[in-house]
This record gives sequence, C-alpha cells and structure tokens, in this order.
Amino acid sequence: MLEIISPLDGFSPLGPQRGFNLLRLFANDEPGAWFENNDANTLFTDVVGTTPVSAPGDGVAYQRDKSGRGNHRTQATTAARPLYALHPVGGVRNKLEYTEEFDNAVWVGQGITKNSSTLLTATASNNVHAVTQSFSCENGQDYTFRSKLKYENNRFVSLRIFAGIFPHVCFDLINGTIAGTQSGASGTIEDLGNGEYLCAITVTATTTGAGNVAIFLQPDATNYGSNWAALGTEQVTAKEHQLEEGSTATNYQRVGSFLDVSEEGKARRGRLWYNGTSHFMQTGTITPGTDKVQVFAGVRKLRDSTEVVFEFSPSGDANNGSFGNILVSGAYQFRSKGTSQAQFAYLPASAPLSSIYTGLGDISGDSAILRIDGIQEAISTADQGTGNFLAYPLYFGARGGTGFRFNGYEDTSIIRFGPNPDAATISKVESYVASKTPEPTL
Amino acid sequence: MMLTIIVPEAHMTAANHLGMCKGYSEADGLSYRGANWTDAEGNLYSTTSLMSSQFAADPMAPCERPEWDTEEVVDLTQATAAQGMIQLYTPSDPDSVKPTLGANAIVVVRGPLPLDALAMMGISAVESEGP
Repeated sequence: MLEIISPLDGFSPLGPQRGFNLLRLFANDEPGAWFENNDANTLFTDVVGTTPVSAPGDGVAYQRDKSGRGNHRTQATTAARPLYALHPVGGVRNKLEYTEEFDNAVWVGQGITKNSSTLLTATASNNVHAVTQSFSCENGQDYTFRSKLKYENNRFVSLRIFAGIFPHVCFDLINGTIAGTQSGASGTIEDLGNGEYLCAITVTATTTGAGNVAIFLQPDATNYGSNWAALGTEQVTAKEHQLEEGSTATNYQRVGSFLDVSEEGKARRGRLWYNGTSHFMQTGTITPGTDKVQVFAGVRKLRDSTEVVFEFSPSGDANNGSFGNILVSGAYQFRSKGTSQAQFAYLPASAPLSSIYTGLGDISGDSAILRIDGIQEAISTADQGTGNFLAYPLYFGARGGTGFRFNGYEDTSIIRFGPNPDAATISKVESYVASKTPEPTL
Repeated sequence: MMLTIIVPEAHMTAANHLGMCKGYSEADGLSYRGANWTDAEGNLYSTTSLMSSQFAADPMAPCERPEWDTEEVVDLTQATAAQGMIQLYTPSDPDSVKPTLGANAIVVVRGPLPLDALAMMGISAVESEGP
C-alpha cells in the first residue's frame, strides 16, 4: 500500500530543521543530486518513471532527483534493482519474518497442520507437534521470543528457543500460569483478557550460527521436546510472534518480509535495500565545474566489509576528479581526488550500524573531511593534486556497478558541488538526513 | 520469497537469456555481469537475488518468447538450457536436499537473505583490487 507522505515530513515545527529548506543547497544552480528514499513519490518501478512503488519489496528502477538538477538515477536490469523497504522509526527489533502468516513457508511445521495464519492443529500421529522459524544467533546474546497464545482445546503449549541449548517454557492456557521451565530458560505470562496470554521465553545463546524459535503443542506440563500421540484435534491460536535481543519482550512489530515492518504508534521511513551481490543504481553524467563537493548520507551497514555506498565515476581509484563514500573492512572513508587521492579511515562500531555520513572535499584546498553523526571524525590534508571534479556518473551500491557491493540500507544521499556551506547549514542538513533514517543516530 | 541465484561462469550467457525470457526487457540480459564469487576449489560464479514477485513470468514454466522481444533478442535454446540446470534448495524445508555446486548446476536458494544463502552454499566474494 502506498503511504502518503507529506512534503513537510521532517520539517517538524519543533525540530532542528525548523525553517530550513534543503533546496537552499541548490539555490544557485549548484550541480548535484538529492535522493530521499522516504519520499515514495520519487521512486518508480519502471525506468521511465511512470509506475510508483506501491509496496515494500518493489524493485526501484528509477528515482527522481529532488535537487532540481535533473540527475535522476536508474537501474534497467530487474535483478540489479535495490528494493524498497519501510521500517518503523526507532528501528527493527523483531528478528522474525511473516509474523502473522503461519501459512508462509518460513514457518516449518512438524506433526502439525497450519490451518490459517494463526491456528495450529496437531496431526494424528506420535510426533512432536510444533512450528519453527529459523534465525541466526550469536553466542552470549540474550534472546526473548514472545507469542500471543489463546486456548482452543489444548491446555499446554511451550515456547522454545534453539540457540546452542534448546530449553522450553511450558504455559498452562487454562490457568494462565507457567507450568514448567527447563534449565537455561526463563519465562513470563501476562493475561491479556479474552482468553489470550502474552507468553515469552528468554534464553542466552551458547553458539553462533543457525537457531530457531518454536511453538509446541503439549500433552502435559513436562513433555517438552518428546514425541506424543495426538488425536489430531488439539488446537491453539498463536499470533504476534516476536524474537528480539535482550531479556524483555517489547512492543510488537509486525513483520511481513524483512523489508516490511511496522509498529503501532510509530511512523515508518522508506529506504532502499542493497543486497551486496547485484544491486546498484547510477545517474547520467554530471559535470561539476568546481573542485569542491559535499556529500550527506543516511546509511545502515549490515556487514563489515569493503563496500562502496556511492562513488563519482566508475572507479575513484582509477579516475582523476572523483570522490567516494566507502566502507573499508568496517571503516568509513571519504575520498577526494584531483590528480592524487586523499583518504583516511575512521573505525566506527561494527555492523549492523546506522550512521549519518558527511564528506566535505576540496581539491585545491587539500582538505577531505569526514563527519559521522554530526561530529568531525577525520580530516586529511594530503595533496589532492589539481583540477576540478570531472564529468562522470554517480554510482550507488557498487563500484562502477561491478564490485565492492554495498549490503545495507540507504535512506538519503545528497551530493552537492560548490563552495562549502557554513557549519550551521551543514548541521541542519545532517539533522534533516537523520530525520529520514529510522534508527536513532545524531 | 527471496531467491538467490548462483550461476557458474561458463553459463552466465545462458542464464542471462533466461533472465530476459522471464524478465521485462533486454536490460535483463545483464542480470549476471561478472563472475565475482568463488568456491573453495576456485571455481567462479555470478550471483544475484530477486524477490519471487519480481519475475515477469513463472521462471519454471516452459520458455516462450516474451511479448517485449519483437526483435528476437532472446535465444530460447540457451534460456531453456539454463532452466534445465536449475536446482532448487529451500533450507527451511527439512525435505529439501542441499545441492552441490557444480559446472552444470544453477542453484537457486529460496528463503534466506542473499549473503546468508551464498555462505550456506560455500562461496565467497572475489575482490581483485583495493577500493
């Protein structure tokens, strides 16, 4: 469903951007581009820009440049298109997918029939009677799995987290109590009324790798993971499943695919997901006519690897008059290059990590500045040689569309050629970019 | 559902014809641009990922000339050959058998995120130069 987004979105009358119009950056016809992935009105699923994105998971073939410079970006190849995503402000906590769709294949049943999106019925067999969904766990991390359970005709149901150890917590859905807890787990149960209980289990992972969560129908309070002979009529209703880090079950986030997450009371932000294997976009050729550039980006990296978020020219290494926003083995870089390149590395926290990234490049001034989350973290005064930034396309998500592929989310990218704005303006742009990134940054 | 596709270097051209056949335009002939992934033996692969909803036509249905292909760009013989090499793998399905990467297998992993799927299949990225 297409969400209607106000053109004033981000310009809170009480917020840090009050009175600031980002188009001021381009008021004097400065070359550049402004891509704002939260603005669904700029995103299209066809390369000529006639069919807007309509739902998370849509591939973006064309994105309109909001700067007014006409430097729209495109991707004609279906398999190379980044995918549109909607995530709640505050970020995604729920690690499960299709949390209201037992009928989706991510939920694997054993000895059970998934009658609907929420109803489970044991099959008439001597088996365990459970549904599971996989996730990746990290050794030492606490995980809490919650589900809203309702008695139909089967009194006992257990939740299990498999993360090196695989203890159950068994719940009595008639009395609203915890009926049994295996070593290594703790549980909670909360009466929601109307026969519904919010049940949760917390476990500390003892391995890194494949794990899963499971809901078991049980014949009694202490069966846990053993087979039992079901009649084929035993049922429970289970919904609103959430797996999250930590030992407390927080507000529920509905997840369709990982690209489609919502939370009651929270606005959603649009973003583009790059898969790290084939996605990228590019503009037509931009002719800067100057040796000064500013770049602003809201990004969420999902791995610590050598990746290009965006770069001016098919290769910042090979081409003079270029710049790049690059993640190198987990470090952030901003590169500015006339006939020789200034570069440096700033090591942020490990992935996953959301950041507001600012790069300020000045070839003749021999200055390349990197700001992260509104703070100057690195500067290079190495000789950048001579000349202006030259005429190239901008590439997003990969070097030249072929290598150093980005795996993560891009929320906003702003590239502007021209004299540096003053510090107050830079801060306002950073605040604006931060307002379009779901996770807290500044 | 997420689909991650792993194509041996030798079959990139055929796979690109299949991409066009099940896609929207000649641009889908660039679905596999480079063999930038390698297995432990040094064999090279090209990879991509798609949501199942992104195909214009059922990828497993017999290959027919797409409506857009009025100039007969798609080589249906190659597309069919590529389709014949497809081996599906659904890790979350206990009954799904993990295929072995090989010179004549195009492996499609259903479900996991692409980088997880590629790691599951034992291949990693090749990067030949520093950025």
